[in-house]
Parts: sequence; C-alpha cells; structure tokens
Amino acid sequence: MSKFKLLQVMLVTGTLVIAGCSSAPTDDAGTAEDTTTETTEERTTGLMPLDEAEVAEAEAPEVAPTPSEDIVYFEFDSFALSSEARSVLDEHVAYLRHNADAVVVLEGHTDERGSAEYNLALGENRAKSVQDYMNLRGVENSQMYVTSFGEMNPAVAESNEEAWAQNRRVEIKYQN
Amino acid sequence: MNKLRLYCGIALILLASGLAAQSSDRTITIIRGYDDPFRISIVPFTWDGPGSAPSEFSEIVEANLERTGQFDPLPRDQMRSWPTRRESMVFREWRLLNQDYVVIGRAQPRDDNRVEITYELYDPYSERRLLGRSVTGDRDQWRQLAHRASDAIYEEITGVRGVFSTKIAYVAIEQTGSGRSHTLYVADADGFNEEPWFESERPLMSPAWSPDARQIAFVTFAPDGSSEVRILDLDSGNVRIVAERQGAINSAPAFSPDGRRLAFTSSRDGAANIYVMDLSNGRLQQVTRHWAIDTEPDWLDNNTLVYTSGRSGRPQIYRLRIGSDNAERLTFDGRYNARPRVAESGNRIVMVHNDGDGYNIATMDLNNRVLQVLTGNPQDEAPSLAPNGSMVVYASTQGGTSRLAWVSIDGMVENVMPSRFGNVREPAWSPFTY
Amino acid sequence: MRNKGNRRRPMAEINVVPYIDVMLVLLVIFMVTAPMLTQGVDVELPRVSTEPLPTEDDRENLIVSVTADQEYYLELGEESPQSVPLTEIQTFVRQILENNPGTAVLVRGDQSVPYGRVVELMVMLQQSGVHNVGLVTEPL
Repeated sequence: MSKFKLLQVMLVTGTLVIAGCSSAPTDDAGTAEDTTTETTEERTTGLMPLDEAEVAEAEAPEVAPTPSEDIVYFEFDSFALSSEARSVLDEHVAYLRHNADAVVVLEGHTDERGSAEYNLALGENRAKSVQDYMNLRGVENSQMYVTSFGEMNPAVAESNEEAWAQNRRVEIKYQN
Repeated sequence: MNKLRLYCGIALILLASGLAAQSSDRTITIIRGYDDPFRISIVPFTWDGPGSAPSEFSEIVEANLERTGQFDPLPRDQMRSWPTRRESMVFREWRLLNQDYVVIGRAQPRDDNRVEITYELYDPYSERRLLGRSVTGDRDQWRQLAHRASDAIYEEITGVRGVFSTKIAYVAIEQTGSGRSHTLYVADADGFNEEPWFESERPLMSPAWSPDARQIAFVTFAPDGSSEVRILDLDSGNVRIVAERQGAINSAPAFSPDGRRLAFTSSRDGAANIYVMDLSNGRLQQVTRHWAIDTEPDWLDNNTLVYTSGRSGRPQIYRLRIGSDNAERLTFDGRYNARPRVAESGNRIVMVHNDGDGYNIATMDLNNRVLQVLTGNPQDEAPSLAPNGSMVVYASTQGGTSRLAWVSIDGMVENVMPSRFGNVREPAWSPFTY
Repeated sequence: MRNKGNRRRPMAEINVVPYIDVMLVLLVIFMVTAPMLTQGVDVELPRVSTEPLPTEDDRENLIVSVTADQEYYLELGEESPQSVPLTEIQTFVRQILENNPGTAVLVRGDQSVPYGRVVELMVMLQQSGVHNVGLVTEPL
C-alpha cells in the first residue's frame, strides 16, 4: 500500500514536470490527471523520477547508436515495465528522438495461459505501456503504432515457465 | 474362497474390458463416464444394395451415444445375433445380455443416388418398440442421417434433445515452413466432416455462431497487426469485415439471441471496452466505459451482457444491462474467471477459472451463484456450450499441444478428441441446426 | 435413472430346493422345479420329491435343454429353436457373464440323457465361469 502511495506521489510530480515540458504532448498528461486513482496505477508504469528523466534528456548523444535489444519482457498478468525493460527502451527512445522519420510497431504478446481474448487486450496494454513510457521520454506518438497478438503468436511454442517468460513480451519492430 | 475367486474374476473382466476400450481405434478417448450408463446394443445395420455401404451407420450412432458417457454400447462381438427386423429379435437374448435398449435397422439405396435408412429402438424388457423411423437423404449425407438417428434415439431415452447434428467451429494452427497457418474449420459435433472456410497466415480467433447457425463471426488480423471482426456467411461463403480500426483491438464478437446485434470488444477509444453494433445499419453503441480491460461479451438476453473485466485488478465476470452503468460482479470464487459463455436457457454460464491450480473450465448456476469446476487439466480455455446445455467443448493444452475436449455440464464425463492438425483451438458449438 | 425393479419379468414358478456347494468344481448346483417351463423343446424331466423354496432372485436365467436325442438347445423363446453345438453355448455364456455377471444357468435335461452328456455341459459351464447351475426337475 505504501508503495502504491509512493507511486501516486511520483505520478503527481511527474505530471507537473511534464505539463511544463514543451516536448511532452499535453493530452496524455491531462488524461492522467483527470481520471481516478485506479488510472494512476495503470499510468505510473511509464513514469520515472523527475531528475533521472532530466539527466537522460541532457545526456542524449548527437548520434544515437542502433538499439541492441528490441524485445522487452513482462511479469505474468502485468503490463508494468521492469528496470531492465526501461533500460532497453531508453536506447530506443534515444534512437527514435534522433531519427524523427523512424517508425516502430510495438507488438504486444502474452503467454498462453488464461483466456485468449483477455490476453489480446493484455498484450495491447503491454504495448501501450511501452508507448506511454517512450512518449513521456520524448518520442512522438506518430512514430509508434501499437498492436497486440495476445497469446496467438508465441516466441517459444512450449508450455513451461521458461517459454512463458519468453512469450510475455513487447517486440519493437522498426518499419522501413 | 468361492467369493474371492468370483470377485477376482469380475475385477479381471472389468480390467480387460477397460483395456479393450482404450486400445480401440476410435478417435475419441473417453476419460470419465457415469457409473451406471444405459446399456444399449446398436446392432450392425445391413446394406441392401450393390457394393458396400457408404460407411458403418451403426458405428456412427454407437460412437455418438458412447461419447455422451450416458451410454455403454455393447460391442458387436458380444452380441449373439444381429437382427435387422423385429421378426428376428429374440428379446430374452438381450435381457440375458443385460441390455436396456436395442437398436436395429437397415439401409438401402433409392433412386438418384439417395439412401433410405430405417431404424427401430426396442425395450427388451417390455418387448415394445419405442421408436421406428425412416430417413432418406443423399449418399453424401450418410453421416448426417446417422446423426439425425442418434438425436432421435438420445431424445427418446433421456428426454433431452440430442446435439449430434450440430456443428463445431474451431481454429486449426499448423506449422508451415516460414510460419504458421491458421484455418477456420466447421466440423460435425463428432469432429468428422471438417470443412475449411477461411485461412490466414495471421492468427484467427473467437468464432461465434449466429443464432440461426448460418453465419460465423470471427477475428482476423490486418497486415498492420490490428484485429478486426469479420462475418462469414455459410450459405454463400462470403466474408465481410464488420468492425475494424487501425491500431486498435476489434475482437470477441457475440451475436445477440435475436441475431440482430453483435457485441464485440474494441480499444478504439483507448482501453478495451465493449460495444454493440446494430447489424442492419452498422450503428455502434458503447456499452462499457472503463480504463481496465472489458472483453469477451456474451448475451444473457437481448438486453443483458456478461463479460470479463479486469476492473477489480484481476479478470472477473460481470453482468451489465445495456444502457446501464451498473455492472454487477458475478464471480468471487478464484482469482481468475474469464470468457463467460451463456447456456441457451440463460440461467447458466461456463467460464475459464483459476483458483491457483491451473486454468480449468467451470460453470455457474446464475440462480444460486454456485460455481462448480468441471475440469482438472493444467490449461483449459475457450469453453462453449452445446445448445442442449449438456456438454461443454473447450480447448485443452497439454505438452504444448492444444486439442479439443468435451466435459459434461455436471463434470462427470470427459472426452478428448485427437486431431490430425497440429493445434486446435477456439471451439464454438453451433446452435441447433434443424 | 433406470427403473430396474419393474423391468424384469419375474419367473415366479421356479423354486429353489436345498442346494449343494460343490467345492471341487467351484459350482453351486441347485435343483429347481419347473412345472411352468412349458415353452421350449420337449424334454421329459426327472421326477423328484422336494420341498420347494421361493427364489430370491428375479433376474433372467439362461436355460439350456438337453433332449432325449442328446442335442443341446438354448431356451430363448424362439418360435422354432435349433439345436446348438456346445461351443456356441459357451460363446453365449461368456457374453452373458461379461455383461451380466452372476447369471445362473438352468440345465433342463431329459431323464433319459446319459449322465456323461449332462456332465459335459456342466464342465463347459464351469470352465466358462458360471458359478450357479440349476438342475431342473419335475415335482412328484
């Protein structure tokens, strides 16, 4: 519960900062502010503490290297971004910000467990988590398309914990 | 000492018959059945025509009845005689064999490539004929004729309408050289006569029958990855897109009981919510408005939906009257309840249920809200009810392979149907077809 | 689900008299009087003096007749019964026991039939797994 409150505080701080930042689109921030506390829980996934974000923006290099990883992974029935996922996404943020004509498809997937239609929506939420995170870090929404295949396109077609972990993912696919 | 020997003998007989049942080459494996099923003899039918019969009529009927778990058909090598008419029936013989019912009959060719099948159902104790019918059809409708006969026999004995003539739609997934192929099939309820209707290299999901069984709504994926709802017309074979939106989910279709509207899920306004489309003019009505996932709608009646919602933090099943904002949570047992499907009667649902021990099929009586778990496999999903409410077909994944399985609504009978396809998923049981 | 009570037609006229448990062949042999078994092939039953007891079991029994000309017949109520070889009786007995364990077999032997011919039948029944054999007699 205390963790939840901390996230709420972080959200409010983050929202205020972003609202004042010209590069962040205002519509997303507005949504987060207007909705209920339950929305807060969802929206926090894309947020970082204030100073870290500023540092990342300040240190963005002139020429961004090609990102090394293009898949981020998730916990079961969750669309929260792990710290590993964030560091993978930071590379893409840097690249996309320096290549304004680059476009990515964010393809959400789940493991096979549970209901296929629910998983389709869960996969979309994962892809949207990635989109929100990258958008808040300065990537234009016009550079990102969100899709989901739910459990229908597993990376590893097996039924075990290892395969499931590999399948709960968002693939970041650059379009030509 | 005598008694001991006797019991050992009975045990051996039971064991032997159990082994024999398992090693038979029937496609259906019966996992569980009732303790005291009806004993029925389906005597091999004769074919009074040139050449051989299109296939074994009596075998189809026998397999149909056996699959319900309510019947224990006598193997034909256990019959002393194979009568085809009443005159040659020796009732005491069937009483000695402890048979509750005997079915006899014959098939013969008619003009224009048609066949006529006559079947009769007898009670060997009263020595009365309970049923006697002739059905005529094209030669290639042979299996359909057998299913019709099975329906009539089942109904005469149990008082419940049979579902052997109904269909099951499902998606078969095959590994191809470069990826996977996905095919929407429609098959007889026993899995035979499968016909492909739509094929895609991208996934197919969620087939749903129209109440007149002439259309199937299902979900495809556009090249850009957004899902879209299509409707297949089984009379013409035409497929049309009814719901699409780039960059959004459009899925989980369900026809209303009157067939005039289609409920589905769309994330066109951000979160996955439920919409209802008037099929006559395409007009949309948004039914749920929530940031959490709302999906998998089905109709309790023409104005009320049940659906899965993640609003409590985990998927649970809710009920909502269209036009109202007052969603009522129905499931409280277990941490995961999803994909409700409504029985024809409207007072029962089946769902995917998890209480921490795998994903099972469960049912809930909406009158008393009692939830009963029907299966015990690690990973079952996509339950769909037979139109008579007696059985649930679902997809069961074991060892990385998904197959179709059936369970009776009381959980007493369970069957698995091996498929010639790599993976079979998303079954949808049709309404009655006649 | 099933109404077992009314379905079986009781054979009220068959009565069981003192029975002998023959351990050696694991057969329970009992003698029955069957004055009402008028149907079936023509057999002159041995006449004995017994005190009849009512049968407890109203289930269907298999009746095998052995005629004076030493032929075997299954009494199934057929209009014109045919004599059957011992092997065919054995097949049917096994089918019955498989589906209806504990069914008794009543032997309806003509009194003029050689003892050996009846024993042959009874040995076959015992080998087939029959545990109850009744010898049908006529009361004095």
